[in-house]
Amino acid sequence: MLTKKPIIALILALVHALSGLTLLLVSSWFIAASAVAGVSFNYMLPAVIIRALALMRIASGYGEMWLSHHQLLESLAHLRLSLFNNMQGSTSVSRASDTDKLNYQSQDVASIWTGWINQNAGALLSLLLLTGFVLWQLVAFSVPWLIFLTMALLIYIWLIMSGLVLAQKKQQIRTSLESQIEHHFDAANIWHMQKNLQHPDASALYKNVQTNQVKIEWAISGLLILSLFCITLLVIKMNTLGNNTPIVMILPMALLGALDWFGRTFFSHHRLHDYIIGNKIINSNYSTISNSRVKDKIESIELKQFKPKGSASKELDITFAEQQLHLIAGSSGSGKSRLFKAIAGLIDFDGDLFLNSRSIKDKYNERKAESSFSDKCILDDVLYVEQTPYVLSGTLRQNLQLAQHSAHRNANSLIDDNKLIEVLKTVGLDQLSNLEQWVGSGGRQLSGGETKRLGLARAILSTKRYILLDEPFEGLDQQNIDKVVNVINSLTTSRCVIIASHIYPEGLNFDNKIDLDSY
Amino acid sequence: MHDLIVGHAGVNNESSLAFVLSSLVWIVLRHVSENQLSKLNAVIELDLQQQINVNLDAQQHALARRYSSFFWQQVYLKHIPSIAQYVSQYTSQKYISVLFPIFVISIIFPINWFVALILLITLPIVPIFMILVGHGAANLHRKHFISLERLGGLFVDRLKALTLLTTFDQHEVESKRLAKASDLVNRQTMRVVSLAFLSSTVLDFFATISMALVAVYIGFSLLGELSIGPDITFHNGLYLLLVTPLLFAELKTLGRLYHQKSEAEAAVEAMLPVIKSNPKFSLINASDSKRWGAKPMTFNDTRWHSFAISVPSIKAESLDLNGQDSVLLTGRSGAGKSVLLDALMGLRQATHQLPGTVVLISQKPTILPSSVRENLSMGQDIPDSQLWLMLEQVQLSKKIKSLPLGIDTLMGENPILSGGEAQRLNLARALLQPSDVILLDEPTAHLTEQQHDTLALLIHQLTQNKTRIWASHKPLPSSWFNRRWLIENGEIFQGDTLC
Repeated sequence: MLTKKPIIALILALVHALSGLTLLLVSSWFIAASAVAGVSFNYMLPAVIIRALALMRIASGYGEMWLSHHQLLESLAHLRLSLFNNMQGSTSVSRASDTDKLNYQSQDVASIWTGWINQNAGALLSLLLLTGFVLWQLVAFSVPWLIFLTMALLIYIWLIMSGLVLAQKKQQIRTSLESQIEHHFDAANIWHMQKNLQHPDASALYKNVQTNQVKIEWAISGLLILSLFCITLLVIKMNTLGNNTPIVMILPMALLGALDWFGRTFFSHHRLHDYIIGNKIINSNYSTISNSRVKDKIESIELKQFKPKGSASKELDITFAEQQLHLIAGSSGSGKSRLFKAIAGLIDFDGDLFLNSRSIKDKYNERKAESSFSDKCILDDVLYVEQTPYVLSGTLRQNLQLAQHSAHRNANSLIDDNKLIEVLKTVGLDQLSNLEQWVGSGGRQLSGGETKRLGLARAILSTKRYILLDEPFEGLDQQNIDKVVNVINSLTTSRCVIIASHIYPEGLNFDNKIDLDSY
Repeated sequence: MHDLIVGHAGVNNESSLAFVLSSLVWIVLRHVSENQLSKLNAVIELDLQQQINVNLDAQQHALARRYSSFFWQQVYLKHIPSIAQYVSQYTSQKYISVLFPIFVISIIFPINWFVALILLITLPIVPIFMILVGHGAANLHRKHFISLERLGGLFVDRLKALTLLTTFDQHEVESKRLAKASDLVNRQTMRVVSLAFLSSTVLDFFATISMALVAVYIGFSLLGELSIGPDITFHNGLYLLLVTPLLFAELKTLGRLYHQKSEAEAAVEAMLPVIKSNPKFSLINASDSKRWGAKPMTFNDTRWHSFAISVPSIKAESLDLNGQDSVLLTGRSGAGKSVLLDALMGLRQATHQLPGTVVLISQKPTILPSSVRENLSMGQDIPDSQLWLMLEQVQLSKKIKSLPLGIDTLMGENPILSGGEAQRLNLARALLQPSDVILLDEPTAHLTEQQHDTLALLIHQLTQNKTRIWASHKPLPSSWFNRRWLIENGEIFQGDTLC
């Protein structure tokens, strides 16, 4: 399916290009012939051919656009899906600029057929056929034509190659500007203290694009001068031949129209460049991120000299057991989120982690021997609730049912709506009672407090026994803090809850408090 | 400039020299005009960038923090170029594609009025059909707009949700959903696109029809089968045949540039709030002469009557501030404490702003990825002894000394300082700046209670000799302050009685 459509579209594109060119040539020949020959030949046939060519050109043009667009959408969907599937278990792409890049680069890669191949194939085939025609019918013109052919191809190749260099440079400039802008705007709070404050300057990027445009213009002017030169040669030749055959009209006409049927491809080369660059980057995203899930039921988690890999934070020695509430106190920036991610197995750690009194490293080695290499072990029985839980673009129901363990999902045992609404009430999200409501991007935006409570609702609905809550109280008013405290206290009757927070509200019955800050 | 394209058509004039010359003139003019357009493009881009940077200078973090850094990336890398392209290419092409056909017909008319007539009749049909088709496609798109928007954005959305999907082991479920969504989006898009593509096909169709009409007419006239209109010679015929396609050439170019319009519209919509020119309210401490080493300025018994901020509206009947005052600013979160501080700095439109050099310490410590030294000196030349003295004062010197490269250690992307330490570094940076007034915007908001206590005390000790306005949510000893401001329902109340 995927391989047939681009070929048909390509053929249609070729038909489109050739019928356009032939239309021009046949009609000019027709006029010349009519003038030279008078009524002495069958003029109906060429007239019919011209009309047929015109219709063919329009039909193939539309067909090509339709088909290649269809193919573009299909291959884009395919590409994105395989990218997404490949990122299973990855937590790396989360920044807006990264996802945006994958978004447009996948588009660049998918649009190579419609954007570049089809157009260029048409132009190159036209060149080839004209060459064949000259060698077959107009041998006397072969020298000027071959000059044109060689030079035009040289310009064409020069433009592609030098454009590629520019495009690679552009990519570098872009990447460095992106990080520059990000750092600059993250530091906006201290701009007023900066001596000689410089805002980002993207002129290098603009300049790069402009240089490329100027290059294209030179290539086009070169092509035009070249065709003019060859036309002049032809006209001189024509005088020696005597211009009584209408067929000699064809070549000058083709050269005059060179900008249309050949020069236009000059504007398409950036698509090829984007494809090459995008393809490289997308392939590098296909790195082998394979991590295993530890599906065991967890009775206890014991940390020994534990800290996230490469972090400067304290090493921890703690045991977490069921029906406990632990509070990890620390100010923002003390590495609480990274610590939680390390416990849940989302990032690497230093030290050791004991699951049900057995070191995960033993387990990990065992697995390494028996199956493929793996980086991290994601603990299936641990739930990490982010500081700002992500709200999926989807219905509220989807956002809650996500919490159902995937093993149960395939059956008809999706959590029923009454249960969902009950949980929403428990966390104080009564105002969201329409489970069909679209939330997240493209729908109702949840406030910071609502988002936090949605995360809590998911935690209640999940069957996971270890729940890591990252800053659950931040940004909530007192009334909602009380509600959340109640929920957490009741969660601890059956599970283990670990809270990272710099706020410790009253009424929180924690068993253990760990201070992460060194001060 | 573009009109010279007609020189192109002078192919069979008696002298081939004239042809060569006029062609050369056309080539040169075309080249120059295209280069001018790309120069214009660059000028517009730099001008837009300049406008944004001027606004950023005037409003600083009050403007910058309203948007994510991703938004700003898009502004510089995407929106500015697409607006510039639209202005330089599309708008000029719009005029050309209207004027050019008129020009071409006026050239054809004296040569053969009948051909001109044919073209005059067929020409208006083109835009009419294009508009009809365009409206149809737009309606269809509008009908599916919400689902196209939602489902079309699903790929990016689920990429952002990777951590969530991993923790819940929902990757496969979402993958299926993604496949289904893109299938649906593609089907709907194809429906819209099938219609939208008709637009250029219609143009092609009518262009071909009129070409065919002209060609057949010329052909048969030359054969002597037809005798409507003026006589036609071979040269005339060829000339007309070459000129006719030019009638539609510029319209076709416009069609190719059409996508620029929607891109620019999206860009303008996104950028309008940050590019709207603001009435000049200059930042007093922007001038470098007031920087390091300048004498502190004193102000006494300042009383502002009917102080007001325009957006969001915050008012005060009067506000008093004397040199060396210590003001406690309170109010619920979201009441506008940060807005007031911004306005006092002159970063928001307000009736008054603080005189002299103002320094702000904000909630979230800002650490640049560069070295500790650069983080402290902010581009000024401050002697090491002074830096260390300050680090000693904020109790960071031990920590900094323990870093591998000491004061020259790069902070990098994952800071090596804890939240409390980072805020101490921020404090040191602010205190190294010569300032007349120091503004504190909940500097301990993200710290634990214990840390809040120690850091607040440190801040108090180090700033008690300065004029300071301290916004705080958390309790602070009342003996530290001689004035209180309370923001409530858009109004600032002052005095001791409130606390």
